[in-house]
Amino acid sequence: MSVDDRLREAFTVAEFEPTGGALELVRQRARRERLRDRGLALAAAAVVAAVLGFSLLGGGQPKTQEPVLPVPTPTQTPVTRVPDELNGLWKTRRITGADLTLTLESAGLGEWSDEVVASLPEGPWRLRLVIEGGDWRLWAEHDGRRDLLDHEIVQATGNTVVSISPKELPYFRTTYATSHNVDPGPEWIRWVFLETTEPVVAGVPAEAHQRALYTTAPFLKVR
Amino acid sequence: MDDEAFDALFAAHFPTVVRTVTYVVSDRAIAEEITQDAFVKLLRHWSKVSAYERPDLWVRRVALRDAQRERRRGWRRPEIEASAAPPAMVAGPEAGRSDVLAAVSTLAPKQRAIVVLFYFEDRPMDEIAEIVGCSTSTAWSQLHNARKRLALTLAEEVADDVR
Repeated sequence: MSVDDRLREAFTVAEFEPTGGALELVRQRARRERLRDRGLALAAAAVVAAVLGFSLLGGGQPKTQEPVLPVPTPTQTPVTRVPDELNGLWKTRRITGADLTLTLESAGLGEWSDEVVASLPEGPWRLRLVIEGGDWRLWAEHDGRRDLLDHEIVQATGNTVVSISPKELPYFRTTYATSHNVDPGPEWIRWVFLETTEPVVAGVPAEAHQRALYTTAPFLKVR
Repeated sequence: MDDEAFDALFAAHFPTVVRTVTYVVSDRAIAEEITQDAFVKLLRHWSKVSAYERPDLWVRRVALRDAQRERRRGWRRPEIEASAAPPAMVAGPEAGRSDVLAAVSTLAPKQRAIVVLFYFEDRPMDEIAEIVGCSTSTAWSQLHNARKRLALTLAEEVADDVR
């Protein structure tokens, strides 16, 4: 058999049937992005108006006169972005399987600690969290290696709660979400688990993974 | 009607683009996401792209460009997917073809895209060149090199011309 025949045979498959909601998901996302862009445009217009107002109302006056800055019109932000201070690179201290177990036992989830630890690369680990532009990625750093553990999209609910949803599961983004409260310190953040709608996987509730990874140690700001 | 034209294009091409991107990134969930992103961009630029001769090529170009950049892997994704998704939505390529597809996955991203568009979508080379963003002769040359490499990996014969 020639390589061409093998390829044609390999690529002969039944058509993939998307779910009925795929088109609606695309339409919803396009609508959200349009709204977000409109919000950004309005914000930019407000800034321009403020600068123009400053120039007209006092920017060109002698220094003795206090400039009067007009208050920009508040604009609605349809998509709730995480506060700027959360964006960046965060790292935990080195943590061990025993640390995770302690976290889970304190939360009454100790019966799943072995499974949670076994699902991770060999520890101890330093957890590395990068939040930027609505993207949330968590790695385990261990033995000079870095393994991606979690990839989510993140949104804020108010100033203190973030909601993360699986980045690579567009089908389930609307139904699977985990909320954490943000307890910020001067140069660190501590996540306080609130709730999750993610499913039980291999008999282990998602709450166990979430608490173990995000609440065992505070994340220190790196940059 | 614009909406109807978009819906028709979506119905006709979304499934194939998902499958094509799946072969390029070797992951159905990521392929689905990339394809969705491409169709969102298409919808957002629909008033302009719909005037093009082939909007379907435009959306493939966007999807395959992103697919070639794609390197992300998630830790919980396969587990959650396996536990929650209907099998038809996540079933990977059939095991019997896995050696061929594994060999394809070792190709450079652009070569992989060309192979998939040629053998899976059965597209003429001028369209493939337009989608991946190179000249037709370069696309032929890439396909030629990919076939030679695949033949070596699979221990199969390869003719000078595509058969």
